[in-house]
Formats: sequence, structure tokens, C-alpha cells
Amino acid sequence: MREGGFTTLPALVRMFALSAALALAVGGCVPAGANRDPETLVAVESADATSFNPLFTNDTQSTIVQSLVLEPLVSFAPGFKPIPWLAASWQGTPDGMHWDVRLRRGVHWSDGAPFTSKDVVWTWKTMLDPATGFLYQGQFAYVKDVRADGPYAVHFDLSAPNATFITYALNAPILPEHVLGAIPDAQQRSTSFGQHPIGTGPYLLQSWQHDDRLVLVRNSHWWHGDVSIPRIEMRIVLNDQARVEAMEDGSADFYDGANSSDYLSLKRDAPYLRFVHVPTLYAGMIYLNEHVPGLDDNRVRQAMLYGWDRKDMIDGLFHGDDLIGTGILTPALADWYDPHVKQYRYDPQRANALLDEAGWHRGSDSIRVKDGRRLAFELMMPNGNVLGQDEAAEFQADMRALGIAISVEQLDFSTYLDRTNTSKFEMALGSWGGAVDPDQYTFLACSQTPPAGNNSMFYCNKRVDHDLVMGLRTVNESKRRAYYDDMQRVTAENLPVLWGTFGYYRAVFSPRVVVDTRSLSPDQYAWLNIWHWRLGP
Amino acid sequence: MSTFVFRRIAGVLPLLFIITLISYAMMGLAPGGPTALMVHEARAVSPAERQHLMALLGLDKPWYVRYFYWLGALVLRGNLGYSYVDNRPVIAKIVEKLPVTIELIGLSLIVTLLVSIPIGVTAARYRNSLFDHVSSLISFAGYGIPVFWLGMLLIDAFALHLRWLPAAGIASLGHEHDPIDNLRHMVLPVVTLSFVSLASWIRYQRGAMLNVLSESYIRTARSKGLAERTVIYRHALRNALMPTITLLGLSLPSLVGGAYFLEYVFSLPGMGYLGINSVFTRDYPTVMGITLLSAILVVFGNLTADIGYALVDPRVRYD
Amino acid sequence: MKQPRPMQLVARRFVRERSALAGLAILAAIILAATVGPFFSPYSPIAVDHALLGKPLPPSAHHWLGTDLLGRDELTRALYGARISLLIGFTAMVVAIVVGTLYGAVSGAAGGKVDAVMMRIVDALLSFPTFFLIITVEALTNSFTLVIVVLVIGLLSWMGVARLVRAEVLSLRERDFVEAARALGAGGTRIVFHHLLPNAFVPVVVAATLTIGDNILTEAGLSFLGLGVQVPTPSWGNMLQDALLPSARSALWLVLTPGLLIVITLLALSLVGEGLRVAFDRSIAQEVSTATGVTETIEAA
Repeated sequence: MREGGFTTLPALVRMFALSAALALAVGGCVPAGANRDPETLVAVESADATSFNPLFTNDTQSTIVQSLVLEPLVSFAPGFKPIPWLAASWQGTPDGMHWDVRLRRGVHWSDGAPFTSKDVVWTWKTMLDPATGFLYQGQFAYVKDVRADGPYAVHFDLSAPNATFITYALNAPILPEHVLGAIPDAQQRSTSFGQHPIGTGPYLLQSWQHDDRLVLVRNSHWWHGDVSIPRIEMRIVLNDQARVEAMEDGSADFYDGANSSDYLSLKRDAPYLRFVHVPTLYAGMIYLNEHVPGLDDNRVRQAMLYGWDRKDMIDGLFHGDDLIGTGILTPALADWYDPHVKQYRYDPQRANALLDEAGWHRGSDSIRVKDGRRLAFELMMPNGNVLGQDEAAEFQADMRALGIAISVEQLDFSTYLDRTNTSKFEMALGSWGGAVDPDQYTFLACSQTPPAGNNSMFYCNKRVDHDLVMGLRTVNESKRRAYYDDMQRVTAENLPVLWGTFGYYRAVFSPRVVVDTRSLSPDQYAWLNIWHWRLGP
Repeated sequence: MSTFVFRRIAGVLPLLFIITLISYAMMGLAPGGPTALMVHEARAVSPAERQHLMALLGLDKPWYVRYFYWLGALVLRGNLGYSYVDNRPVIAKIVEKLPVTIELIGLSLIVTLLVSIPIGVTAARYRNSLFDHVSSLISFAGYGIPVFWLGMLLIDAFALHLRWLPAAGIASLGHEHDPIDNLRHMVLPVVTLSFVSLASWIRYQRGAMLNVLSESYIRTARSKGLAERTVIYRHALRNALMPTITLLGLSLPSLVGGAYFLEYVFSLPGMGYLGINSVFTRDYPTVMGITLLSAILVVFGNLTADIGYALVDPRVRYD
Repeated sequence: MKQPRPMQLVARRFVRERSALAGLAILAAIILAATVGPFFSPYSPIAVDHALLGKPLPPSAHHWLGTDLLGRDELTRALYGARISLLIGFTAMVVAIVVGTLYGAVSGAAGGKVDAVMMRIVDALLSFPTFFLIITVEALTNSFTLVIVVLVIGLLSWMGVARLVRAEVLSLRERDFVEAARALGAGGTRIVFHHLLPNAFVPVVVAATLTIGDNILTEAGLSFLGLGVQVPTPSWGNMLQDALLPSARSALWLVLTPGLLIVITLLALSLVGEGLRVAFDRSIAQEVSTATGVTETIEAA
């Protein structure tokens, strides 16, 4: 018996039809996307910054936003040449142990207070105090003393000459003494400065909704001059597709650090946008633990590199949008990168020959054996990176062809880092870099194995060690270059890791952004000369 | 009845204690820590530095000591601590993210109820009809669909190919306070989440209705000559809906878990997204805050189920 | 009247449910394909084809289900993946059933304070955001084998079984035959293992079939996060993950294959489980011992 009521079939059909119509009606309203505000540059980011306090953060996003509000004594020109910034000039003694820095006059904090040597001295004293918990306190431990020489000069005394003094130490952002000076060092961590910064830079923080939006407005009293773009809005858009859509419909102006597939799909679908593609400071690589039998033999390491078809991997998996890695330093460090080192073009014959020479011969299952030990290793990688998984699978297949058995282990990121940092691994897929100085002491020096430094590979080469120590000590740039050229040449022969690929920093701009794309620096340094950018019609 | 409720609520506290203890223990025993990530950012931080930092954060103490302090701060001062990542109060971080998760779960529950009740009731009423068989088949099939797969398929179909709906997020740029835009963004996640729970809900509603329909008082009503419509609508349905409260309570854990996973897949900035990220970055205070809150949600869901069950069945002893 | 043996009745009732039979047939087909299928495939599930890197091929005469991002034959991977996923689902179920049954039986049989505490712990574990459990357990392991994956999944699903068994044990505890056994001097363990458990096994068997399905889903979820079966061993879960890469998304055959296989397998499992439930349900109703010791036959509605 068919009756009325909502439980009957026709009634149900009606209800579904209604809901479907409603859904389509709601879905059918397409919002007009384009951002036509001539005063605001909208940037889409894949992650949020955490804090404006440079003492306690070093994640890329935080570094970016800090660079817009706070300023260092020395900044960089394109190509990472140091240029005077809050420091007007600097002069060091020939032995590199004493430095005089003259400060720029007429600089003011955003609350009107003048910038003086008091700020520099206070910032440094706070950085060097272990109670503060400054992330790089250990790295700057060679700075023995910092004192003011009048209101516009600061004097530094070092306990040892250090070539990174200018690029790292003088590049540290300066904090306002009049705001933070009264707070004891141990409590610097709990101040709200990280959420409410006061700086000397081109922009001021206007508002910040976490994981959503960060708005900066220009500093109209900036010492350097005029800032073209009145407002910057950083939108945190977690999903790749959403960022691509925002660029396509014009609601965003700048896709900062686009990943390879987004970059390529935007190039294909929205070719009227402007595309920037510069080598990044990071080098992809496979770490090797040289305490593991088999990996301690350089011939085995070389064989692996010869037997890994990286060109094919780049063409196939990365659509040709990467470079074959040749070392630890990337082409982004134009002044230091040496491309004339030993190359490892795909040559499985050579690889096999090297393995035979090293005494590893094929066993019954075609995996090489020596003294009863199989040539088998575990490759660690962080989880969730599907492209990396394919990369690992391809590497695995290439190695199997050589007679090396690789098993892949994915770990959650923190565990992966913990294991790589403490050398509890055999091989690990990862990357290294980000530094604007060629120094690799903490990464490659014999003495810098954990827990002292980051040489988790236990790499030890006397010549490289000498280059690293001397390179760190030599302030004269041309003399320095000789050491790093040698380092690159030797590490290409005696491999510390397997070079992977050199990635690109990719950025996409909407047509109305007027920026000199040729002088764009990679990674967090893309924002270096933000005051030159303009918003056109 | 009130003593029953009171005792149940009192029983929740030891449960929460056990949950937080286990969470803290697992976090404490897991390798890696909040400082591990610092090695690979901008410029590498040395291991000595990281050790020093761990000590400053109090992480050099064993986990049970830290748990004791955490519990003390929570119970004595109502303080959930400060995030290791940006030193903001955990409570503030959670409150920011709560609305999105609540919206996702709330809308999904509404959709699930609106769809499952009519279907289940009709399937029960026209038992062994084609409708019954087809809806059973669909609900069995629906139970087996991996939630992230369904989500991705829907995104591919409706967002990427047809371009009817947005692919992710909770709002389009420039339309943050537009409720219609927000609803558009929620369509796909809500459909995905509801679909998976619909499967079991339809079965439950059908089963509940079948049980009620076989009761003697229904036969009495029918024999009295009441119209079938009155029988179904006025008598059977109301009683068949009673277990819904219980069901709501029981399905809360899987809904919360599913919502968290979906937030990750659809990049919705809700509690689940914050929680999962915090586990990856080992931001223990935030992890504990979210674990506690989720556990409270779930435990009170079960409590609601128990109360609902007691309300429905007078034979349940209030012990 | 000669009573047919209970198991025969169960089997008869099961066969009467057509959907359950269909489910069983599907399951049998999948298991058969998983066991012998791989032997018939000319392709390796893990060999990377350099010529096809990044260019998945659609289904063709050479590759019935096409190839994936690394040039591997999708059908072969699906068959090998079936082995792994089904194996994981089954063994994890065994782990869950064994642990859960023991726990639930002990808790129910002990009663009182012990029972209360044990059940509180189960409640706590059930209210746990499982994701955290997964991450931390996985993070704690040093090596990443199938055994670990099975254990993790199994340990996530034993709680429901424990509750089920405990409920059964509780209700059976007061039954006549237990009283009788006790009166005859049988000790606690004997009562649990010889009398309570055999009667509790019915809902457990039904739960077992559903647990296999849940485990396959959990494995898919774990692999989606990269914490399940490791490369290059295929499992339906990590095949799904591979397929969700932007470059693979447009290859519909890669996205649909593992997903549909999971859905169909779980559908079959649910149908079988439902069939078992119905079959056993009526069978139990058939034999009810009354106070007078007379066995009555009662038909369920």
C-alpha cells in the first residue's frame, strides 16, 4: 500500500531532488576571483611563519617575514655579495680578529626610537648568552666581545679569524634594545615580540591570523627610501591545487616557492603569467654512512653514482625540470660553485667494473657478495613524499641491476631527522644546503661527527679537512676560493654522499607585478629587494 | 537517573587520565623531538645547540616527570602550556582551529541523519524489495571505500574536471566571510565524510526500524485498523529513532578520526590538521592539548550514548 | 525428531542467503587470483622500465590494466598487492582476535574491580585518536617489516573484539550450564576455555570477517601516509598512494584499480559477514536450554 508521508519512495525522490538542486545552486555561484586591489601584493605560501623573533626560529617562512620587518648590519646583493645595510662600512685587522663596524645614521625603529650601537651591542650580548637559547649561539661562540664605540660604531673582538663573520654574523637581524632590553635573557623566549615585532625594515606587521593570513604595511619612514608596494598580504594556502587556482583566476600575485608540478601545470595552462626559475641553494643527495661495511669503500660509492641514471629520473619523474647534482655547493652560489669537477654520467659498465675491482662479486641471487657479506643497504627517507618514493624505487631498481640490494624504509619526518642526525642509518635520502657561504666545516670535517657537528656520514678526508679549516680562517676572498675549488674537486673524487639533483627555486608572478626577474635570488632570499617591486595596472 | 549521569561523568575523569598518560608516554618514547627539524632549515643548527635547547625546554627530563608538570599545570591552573613551535598558548592555537572541525563534523552528521533515516526506514518498510536490496548493496559497498580515495576522486571529478566546486581550503581568497563560499568549500569534504558513515547508519536505521516493526504493539496498532501511515509515522518511527542518540555517541570517535584525516587530505585548517602537524613536529604541548580535547569529545559522545540508551530502555539498571 | 547438527544448520542457512553466497564467490575469486595469478604474469611487479618513466600507459593488449609511473605492469602489481593486502588483513585479524578474545574472556570471567579497570583501559584506547597511536608506534620501531605493519594494525583492532567477548562471557556466566559445571567442581580456567569461549565464538567469527576488511582499510590509510608497506613491494594501499601523485592522477586506470579492488573485497567480506551473522543467529535461537532441561526450538522472527 502506497501512502503519503516522507517515508514513501516518491517523497524520498523529491527530497533528493531538492537537495541536489540546492547543492548545485550553492555550487553554481562562482566567485569573481581576481585581486584588483592596486595597493596590495597577494602572495600565496604553503606554510605559515611561526614567529618574528630571529633568536628562536630558523624555519624558512619565519626567516622571510623577519627579513621584511627586521634588518641586519650586512645584507646581500643578487649573487649573495655582502653589501652594507644597517652598517655603513666595516673594517677588519689583517689577522681578521678585530672588526670595526660603522653604523648608518638616521635609521629609526618603527616606534620612532633611533637606531644606535646600543641596539647592536644588546642584540649580540643576548645572542651570545647561553641562557637565552639562541639557535646559533654555538656557531658564534668565536665572537669574544662586542662593545660600542660611540653611538654609531661597534667593535668586535674574535677569538679566532672566521671567514663567515661577515656573511653570517653581521647578517644577524638587530633587535631593539629599548623594547627588549629590560627583560632578562632567560625570559626572552616568552616575550610577545615574536607576534608583535618592532623593526627598522621596509614593512610593519599589521595583522596576523595564523595559518590563514599575514598582512604587512609599508614603513613610510624607512631609511633606505620609498617602498613601492603599500601592502603585502601573505595567504597561507595549504593545498597545492588551491594555490594553482589562485594564480589562475588572478586572486594571487605571487606564488612563492612553487613546486615542480604546480610550476609546470601553470606554465601549460596560464602561460601569460611570469615564471622565474633559478637554481636553489639546496642540493639533493643520498647520505652514506661510511661506518657501514661496503660504504666505506670509495669505489663502491662511485659505482653507485655511475650506476644511478639520474638524467632519466629527471626527465621521467621531474619532467626535465631539475639539474644533475655535481656536489654540495649549487650553482646558486655563483661566486663559489665549480662545475669543472669529476662528472658521473650514467655508465653501468664502469659501475660494474668498479664493484668487481672492489672485490664484490655476484652471488647466487645476483646480489654481490664479499667475505660472506651481501652488498645490501637500507635507504631511509621521510614519509609522505610520494615523488621521493618513486625516486627511491627507481634508485632501487638501478642498484639491483648492479647487484646491490636496497630496501627502502619510510619514517615520519622527526624520526628520520633524529636518525640521520645521530648516524643511526645506512643510507638516507635527503638534501643539504641553504647557506650563502661555501663553508661546509660542520658537514664534512673529520671532527664534526655527531654529537659535535653534522657530519653524520663519518666522512674523513685529510685534504678536504685542510681545505675546510683554511677556508674558514681565510678572509681574503681569492685565497679562499682556492681552498673551496680544491674541496669541490676532491669531494667529487672521494665521495661523501651520492649527489642527487640540484633543484630550482620556482616563482610565478601575475602580469601586473613589475619585478626584475633576472635578479631574483632563490629561496627565502627572493624577497631581498622587495622595495623595488611595483604593482602595475 | 541523575545519580546515574553523575556517576558516569565522574567515571570519565579516570578515563581521561589514562588517555593523557598513554599519549604522553608514547610521545615521550618516540624518537625525534621538536628540535630535530631545526637542522635542515635556513642554516643548520649544531647538535650541541639542539641539546642545549632541549634542556631549556625541559626535554632532558624523563617523560613521567614532564607529564606530572603538565598535569599539574592543567589541573591547578587550567593551563595547557605553550607550543614549542611558536610559543603561543596551546589553547589559543586550538580555539583558532576548532570552528572548522566542528563545522565539518556537524554538517556531516546532519547530512548523514537526513539521508540515512529516510533510506533506512524505507528499506525496512519495504523489506526485501528492490530498493532494500539496492540500498543494502550500496551501504555495504560504501563501508569499504577508503575515505581519502573517495575524497581524491571527488576532487578530481568536481573540482579539477568539471570545475563546479573548489578543490580545497575553507574559503577563496578575498571571500573569507562569505558563508556561501564557505559552504561551497565544505561540500566535497562533507560529502566524503558522510558517505563513509552513511553506510553503517543506513544499516542501523534499517535494523532499528525492523526491530520496532516486529514488536507486538505495532501488530496491535495494525490490527486496530490504523492506517499504515499512522502506524509507521506516529508509532514505529519515533521508537526506531531512539537508538539514534546512542548511535550518535558511538559514531563520534570514527567521525572525529575521519574528520582529522580528511582535514589533512583537503587541507582544511582544523584541529585534525593542527594535531597531525604537531605530531610530525613533535610539538608535545599542542599534541597533548588536541589529544585531550578529542578524547573529551569522544568520551562525552559515549556518555551521551549510554544516557540515550538508558533513556530508551527502562530495563537498564542504573548501577 | 533427530536434530541436525548445529553446524549443518548454520551452513544450510548461510547457503540460503544469496547475497552471502555471492560474497563468498567474489572472495574466493579474489583469493584464487591472488594466489595463482602472479605465476601467470610475464611481468615483474617491481622492475622499473626506464623507457616509460613518468608516462603511464593506458590499458592495452600488452598491459591489461596499463602501467604506472615507473613503467610497472599495473595488473601484476594488483595481483601481488592482493597477496600482501589480504595477508596483512588476515594475519592482523588473527592477532586482534587472539589478543581481544583472551583479554575479553579474562575480563568478563574475572568480573568486579578487575573487569572494571580492564574495560576502562579498553575504553581509553578506543577513544584514542588512532593517528597518534600509529605515528608513535611506527616511530618506535627500528626496522620496518611486514611483521611490524601487521602487529600495528592488529593492535589497533583488538579492543572491539575484547568488548564483544567480554559481553558474551558476562551473559553466559550466569547460564545454567556454567552453574552446573561449577557445581561439578570445574575450576575457573576450565570454565573459561571449555564452556564460555566456545559459546562466545559466534559473534567473534562475524566480527572477524569485518575486522579483515577494517584492517585492509587501515593498511591503505597507513600506506597513504607512507607508513605502511614499503617500496617497492606493492600493496593496494601504496598503489593508491602512488596513483594520487599529480602526474598519475590523470591516469584513471591507476586511480581506480586499487580503490575498486578494496571496495569489492570489502563488499564481499561484509556480505559474507552478514550472511554468517544471519546463519548463526537463527541457529543459536534454535537451542535454548530452559530451567527444566528441555531443549526447545525457537524460531527467530
